[in-house]
Formats: sequence, C-alpha cells, structure tokens
Amino acid sequence: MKKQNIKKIISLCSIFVIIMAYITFSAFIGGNLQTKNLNISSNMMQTRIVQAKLFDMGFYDGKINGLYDDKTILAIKDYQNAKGLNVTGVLDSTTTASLGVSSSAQTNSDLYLLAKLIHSEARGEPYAGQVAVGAVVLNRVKDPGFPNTLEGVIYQPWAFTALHDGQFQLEPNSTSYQAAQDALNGWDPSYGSIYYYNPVTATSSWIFTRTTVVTIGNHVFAI
Amino acid sequence: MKTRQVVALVVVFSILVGLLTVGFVTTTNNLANVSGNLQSVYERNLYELVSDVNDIEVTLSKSLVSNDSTQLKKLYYKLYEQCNLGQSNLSRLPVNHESILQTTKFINQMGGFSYYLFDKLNNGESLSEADLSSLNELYVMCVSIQQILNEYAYQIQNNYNILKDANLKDGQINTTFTSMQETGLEYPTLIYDGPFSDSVMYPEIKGLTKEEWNLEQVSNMLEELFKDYDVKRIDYKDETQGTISTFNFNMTLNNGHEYYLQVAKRGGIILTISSYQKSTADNLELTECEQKAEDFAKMLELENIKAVWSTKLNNIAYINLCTVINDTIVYPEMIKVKISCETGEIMGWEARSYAYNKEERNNTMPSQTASSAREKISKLLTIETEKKAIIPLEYNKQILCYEFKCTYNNYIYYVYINADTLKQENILRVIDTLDGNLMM
Repeated sequence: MKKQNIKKIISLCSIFVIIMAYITFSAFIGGNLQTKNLNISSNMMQTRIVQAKLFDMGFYDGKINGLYDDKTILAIKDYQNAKGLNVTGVLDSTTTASLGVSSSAQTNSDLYLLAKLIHSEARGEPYAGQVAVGAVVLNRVKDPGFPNTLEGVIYQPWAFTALHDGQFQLEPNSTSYQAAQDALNGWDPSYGSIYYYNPVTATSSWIFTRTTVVTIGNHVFAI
Repeated sequence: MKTRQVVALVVVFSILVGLLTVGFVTTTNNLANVSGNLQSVYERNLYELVSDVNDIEVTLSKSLVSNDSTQLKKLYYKLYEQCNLGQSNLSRLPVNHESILQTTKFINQMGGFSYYLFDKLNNGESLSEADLSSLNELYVMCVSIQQILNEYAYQIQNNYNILKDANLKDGQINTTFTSMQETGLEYPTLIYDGPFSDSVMYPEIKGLTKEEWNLEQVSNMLEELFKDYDVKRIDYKDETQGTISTFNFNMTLNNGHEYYLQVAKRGGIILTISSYQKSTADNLELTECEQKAEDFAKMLELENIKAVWSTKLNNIAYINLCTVINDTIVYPEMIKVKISCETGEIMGWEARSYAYNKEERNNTMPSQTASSAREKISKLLTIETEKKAIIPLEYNKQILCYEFKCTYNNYIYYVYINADTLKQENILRVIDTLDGNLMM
C-alpha cells in the first residue's frame, strides 16, 4: 500500500514537473518573444481571405493561417460542391470569383494590414464604426501631421493600442476584410476624422481636446 | 519510507527550481536582447532624423541663394526627398503624437511645398515673391528645429536609454519634441496646390445648398425615401459637426437588417448609408441593380445620374453612379452604391465626393477633336472604347479629357488625354480586375 502511495506521489509529481516545465518554457520562451513572420506571399494572403470567407460561411472551422493545407482543401472542395463548381480543391479563377476574392497575383498587403487593424481595434463595433476606423487610418495617410504611408500610420509607435497589447496579431475575419475594402474604396463614415477613442477607456487627456465629429458605437471620432 | 518520500520531494522541487531558473535566465536574456535591439532601432531613427534635418537645412539654404532654374529644380527635388525621409524617421520615434504633431506637419508641408516649386519650375513657370518669402520663413523654422534636435543628440550621448526615457511623461525625448513646437515661432501657413497644402486638406464644399434642413424635414424625407422598405423604426441618433454637418440615424427593418444613415443638414442630401448583411442568394441581375441605384438617386432628386461602372461580388452589386452631362462622365461627382442581390436593398451609399464637387458644368465642349486625341495614344495599345470625361487631378483640380479604354498584353489601361491641350494627363492600369463593366 505505502509503496504504491509513494509511486503515485512520484508519478504525480513528475507529471506536475513536466507540466510546469512546459508552461515555463512556452510562456517565457515561446509565447511573448516569438516574432511573427510578416512576410506573407500573395498566395498565403489569398488563402487567408479564402479561409476567412469559408469560415464565415461554415465550410471551414480551422485556423485562418494562410496555409493551403488538407483542411483548407477539403473546405474548398465542400464549397465547390455546394456551389456546383468543379470539385477540385484548387483555387481556380471560377472559385475565387464565386467567393469574391481577387485572383490577382499582386499582394494586397494594404488590405490585409487594414483588415488586421480594424479587427483588432474595432471588432465589437457596428459595421459603420469598423469602416470608420479604417477610414481614420487612410485619412491619416493624407494628413500632414502623420506618416505618409499606410504602413507608417499603422506601425507608428503608440498610435494604436492593439499593436502594443498584441491583439494586432489576431487574424481578421471576413467582416474586417469587407470593412477594410470599403474604406479603401473611399467610404468614410467618420467624415475625415483623424482620431478616434473610447471615452470610457481613453487615458490621454489631450485627445479630449480634439473636435468631435461623430460617435459610432463606443468610439468617438474626432479631427 | 519517510526518507524516500522526502528525497523524492526534494528531487522534484530541485528540478522545478532548476527549470524555473533556466526559464528566468533565458527570458531575461531574451528580453535584454529584444530591448537592446529596439533601443538600437529607435536610436538609429533618431540619429537619422538629426542628419535628415541637417541635410534639409543645407539644401534649403542653398536654394535660397541659387538663381539657376536647373540647379533649383535639383535642390527642390532633393529637399522633397529629404523631407520624406525626415518625416518617416520622425514618425518611427517613441514619442507622444501630440508632441510631434506640429513638427511632422511642418516637415510634410515643407516637402509638399518643395515638390510644388519643383513642379512649377518644371512647367516653365517662375517662382513668385510669395513663394520666396515662404521659403525664408521655412528656413527660420528649420534652423530652430535643427538646433533643438542637435542639442538633444549631443546631450544623450552618455548612458542614455531611449526606451526608459520614452516611458517618462517628462522624459528628455518628450520635452525636446514638445519644446520644438513651442519655440514662439509661428509655423508658416503655406498656400500652394501641392501635397499636404492646407487648401487641399480643406477643400470647398460646392455641392450643398446654403439652406439648412431641420431634423423634422430630414426625418420626413427619410420616411418617404424608405417607404418601400419594410421599416420597423428610424431613430434619430446624433449630430456630426465635421466639415459637413449631418444628422445621423439608425434604421431597423422588420427583417432585422440594421442601417446607419448620415444626412447633410445643408440641402438634406443623404451622404452615407451603411449596412452589413450577408447576401446569400443571387436574385437580381447587375442591370436590375443599376436601375435600382439610379432610381434611388432619382428619388433623392439628384439629376443626370447614371451608372458608369458596376460589378458583382459575393452577391453584392457595387455600382458607381456619376453625373453625366452632354455625354461626359463627371467623375468627381461620384456616388458609390452597394446593393444586395438577394433582397435588392441598398446596403451602402457614399456621396461625400458628390457633395464636395457637384456644380454647374459649362466646360463639356472640348476644343480638340476625339480623332486628334486618339493619335496621342501609344501604337502599342488597342483602343476599345472612347468617351468624354471630366476627371479629378491631384490637389482638387478637374479637367475635361477624352477617356480611352485600351488593352495591351491582356491588361486593361485607361488613358486620359486632355481635351484642350492633348496632353496625356493620366494613365491607369486595371490591376485587380473585378470584371467591372464600363457602360453608357
């Protein structure tokens, strides 16, 4: 009896140690300091958008990671089957057109970055509020007080909280892509705003001195 | 027995402590590496900014004493590039936005102004007295920024940690950049037709009448406008006090679809309709959707509006409406519309461009013929269609052109030839062809 008890304790302890070791290593080494590869080929980009769309329509339940893996191929086949297209699992032009995804070889990293920002900053907001957040980014590109490129505006230090707390690394959903597309097409429910903030959580007192243009959802948009 | 138990526990505990120590050391090392790298990145940006501003000062001072147009062109272009680099480095620094807002604006506008001067000389024009006095004002400001920046760069040479400093509200970096904006010197207001000019940032609103509608008038108009929709309720939400003042509404249909509406107070024109809904069936042809969009514009009493481009994606029709007068498409007066092919409901409407640009057009008669414009098209291109169009150029200019849709190597190009000077004003390539139709 007692011997068994000791064995039990030891094996439980070993499991505990292994778990702790795993947590220690993954939390300290793997998690926070891992740098994400931001080099996304156009195909990965396209696959991401396709995955997001298929996810939205219920054909795909895997990760939106841009990998053209078995699960994605299966989802594409299901989609093709449901739409009466040739069931190949390949993203041919008919399939991409039916999904409403560009088959262009050009990387649309602008769309991706903007969708990511919208998703991380405004995913719980009404649709117009999401488009407005995208529009604020584009208004900043045009405004002399900010960097002159989309990348410059998004990655400007301390400009967006989502880039600090890591939410920016979340994969955007199809609503965010749609909102980003609308913003890039020139839709601007923020009416030329270059700032937005949540009055409940805003920490900078300076931001309250800006002229409010409109409130959509939880965000106040200002110039 | 007891001893073995204790030994086991001690072993387990030691392993645990060992692992935690390894984890801690590795993490600390990693963190030190990361923050060291980040510090280097920020310092590099800072020192690059210092040298950019020093370069700008030198180039600007040379331009003040040169009177040779070829030399000046080179200098202005160089200045434009140096300003671009400068603002890029400035925007990468870990500083509060409010501490660098004015300086960023200054550098951007100086770059825009230099480009405008370069362009002016390139077109054979000469610089005005006002241009020269603006340059002198810019130079004074530039020297002030340069001094503060160089002083800061000198002070931080010993044991300075830009990361730690940036986290302090009254740290050196924040106070330096704030003081740059509070020198007592006024940032010059630059009036020019180039990038980042104040006149370009705040264009005149031409398309809205002076007469303001009240909330009741707007609400009545909306009820009338959406009478064919199965509306559950239209709720007034709030007002917008932007460049265009609007009344904002939320509208809900009985099928649950939610809408956000913005109506300009001046003239009661609908500026935005925004709704997100999944359109899952394809019940309507593109032409039917175009008709719906045109009908909607008619209900709003907008005149001479026609669909000029449309495409269907995800069972949503995307339609661009424009004013068309004397067979001329007025592109600046554009309204972008989205219609659900499932329900035929309008899901999106964006008429800001229209509100800004709508005006009486008298310049629809070209002084050059279409055939002489056609001769200006490269022989490589196969011309498919030919139209007249008023197109927006950069910096709020608009001109009458012949629009040629051409193909070459399976690419579609749009070439715009000025209908008065026959100059090639713009050339566009359809990059991401969504198979849109060009009509009329």
